[in-house]
Amino acid sequence: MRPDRAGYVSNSHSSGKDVGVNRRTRAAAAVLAACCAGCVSHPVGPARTYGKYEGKAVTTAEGVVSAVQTARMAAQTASKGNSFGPYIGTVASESEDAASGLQGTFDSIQPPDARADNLRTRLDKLIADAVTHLADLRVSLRRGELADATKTARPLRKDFKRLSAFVDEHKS
Amino acid sequence: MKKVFAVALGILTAIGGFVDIGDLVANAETGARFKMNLAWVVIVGVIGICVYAEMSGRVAAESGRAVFDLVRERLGPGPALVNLAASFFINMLTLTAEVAGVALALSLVTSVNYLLLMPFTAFLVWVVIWRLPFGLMEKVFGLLGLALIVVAVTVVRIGPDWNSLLHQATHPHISHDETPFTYAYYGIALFGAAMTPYEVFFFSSGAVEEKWSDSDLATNRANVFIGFPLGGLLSLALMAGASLALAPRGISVDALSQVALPTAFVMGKIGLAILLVGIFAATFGAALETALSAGYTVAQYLGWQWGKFVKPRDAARFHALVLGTLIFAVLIGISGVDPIKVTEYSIVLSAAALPLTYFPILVIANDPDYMGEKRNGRLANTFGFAYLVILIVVSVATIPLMIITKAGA
Repeated sequence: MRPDRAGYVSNSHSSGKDVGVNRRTRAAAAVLAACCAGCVSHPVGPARTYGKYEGKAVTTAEGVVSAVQTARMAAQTASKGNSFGPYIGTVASESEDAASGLQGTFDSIQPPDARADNLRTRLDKLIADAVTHLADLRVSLRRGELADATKTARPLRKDFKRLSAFVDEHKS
Repeated sequence: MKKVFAVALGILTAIGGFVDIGDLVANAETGARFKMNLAWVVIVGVIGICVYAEMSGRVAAESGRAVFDLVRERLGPGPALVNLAASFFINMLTLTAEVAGVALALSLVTSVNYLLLMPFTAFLVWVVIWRLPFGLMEKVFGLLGLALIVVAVTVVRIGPDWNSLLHQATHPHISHDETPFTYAYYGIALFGAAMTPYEVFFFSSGAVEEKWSDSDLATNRANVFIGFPLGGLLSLALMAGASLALAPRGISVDALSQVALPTAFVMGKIGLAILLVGIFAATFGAALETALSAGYTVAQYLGWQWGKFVKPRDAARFHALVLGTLIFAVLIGISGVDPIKVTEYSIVLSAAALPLTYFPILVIANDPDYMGEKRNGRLANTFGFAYLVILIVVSVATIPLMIITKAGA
């Protein structure tokens, strides 16, 4: 049986209901705004204590480790002749962008005290080194030097070890 | 013989068409972060989509009408409008993610920035919707999506300890690095990816487009109960590949290029090329489905003529809406939002809105006025109601978990 279409008349609302609807609309808009804000890369939150700041430093370092390891895996893939230039160049470029994005985000967080200043300086140096080496790899891969990729990526091994040690040291 | 061929083709199309950008991202992300400890969620999600897709296909075959057409009639214009607004918003996010996914796949081949490729991609999607017949469109991209089987071959080539993988999947635990909240949040993301609402909007509208009747119910069941679970295996293979190749290196998945890395590493150029074809087909097919779903839902709610089974001039508002939605999705995509974040949000918010889609289907599938003798039996209702409870729990938990975990950070 195929029923007819029905019910095209909308309900009328009293003014009291309008207030309720407005509240619901505002609440929905707030959730929507929060969700849209979350879509922007690396949202920055405040760090009012050293502990919070250290936690953000660890999260940042873990993100950079992921970028470094992605680039190293891509370099190994390229050296074995297992990939195309455009793909491997894009992976290297995205790894560099990810690491420098994380660095920019971390640098924009206000360190709460002198101890946090030291932590910031130390992590900044580690990430800067990694970003330089990632850029070297990206340049080399974009030039089509795929066979030498493992050699070019060699400094990233040291970056990985230093960043991993940083994470182990500061992860509670 | 012809019937067997049609059923086999439908099953293959269902397998290839099962995976979309949400599945690609969510499964690789969770595999790299939780290994196989969330595999059970994929299985729960696949059973859920099988239960409700079969129901929505049966409703369409029996009543000759698609889901949203009946939602308004059965629930009334007010509740149906709330349903439409939520569904349309989530569908728009999903469309943005799918179009970005196609552009990202093309950028991996061409090295051109995906932002420049998004308008071109959307134009291609529109041309295919405008020119290709419905059946051909569905089959071409579904069959091309079978190229994703290379992910399963990658897992086999890695040569994992199968007992260990199975043990992880059957004895899930939360590692000391994670909290129960992040575990639950990513579980919801996987569940949302498996049960995305647009799948049933498209499935039921497609049944009307292809003029399904009682005689097509067996094909419907074969597609759903064989094709979808096999498609779900591809999702599990993506998770396993990431857990074996990315997790041990400390790599977290933040880009689509990383999803392809295990296959490139293990299978070489040919494997990578096949995978990129699969990713292109899966995301392009899903972009077609979500773009059409935007038109289907609004047109069915407002009572407009809709569908590709009529000439475009006879469904002008439907086609204008599809085009407008595509343009808006591109505008969102090129605004600078992270496409992977959009994907994550689309699947998590889908999870929050799941009861809005699935509850009316369950109600209508039990209504003898619409379904006659083909209304839900005891087994369909047992699963249907059990899943409705799960959907409500997931829906209630999603937003608080999103806030507590800072969206899985």
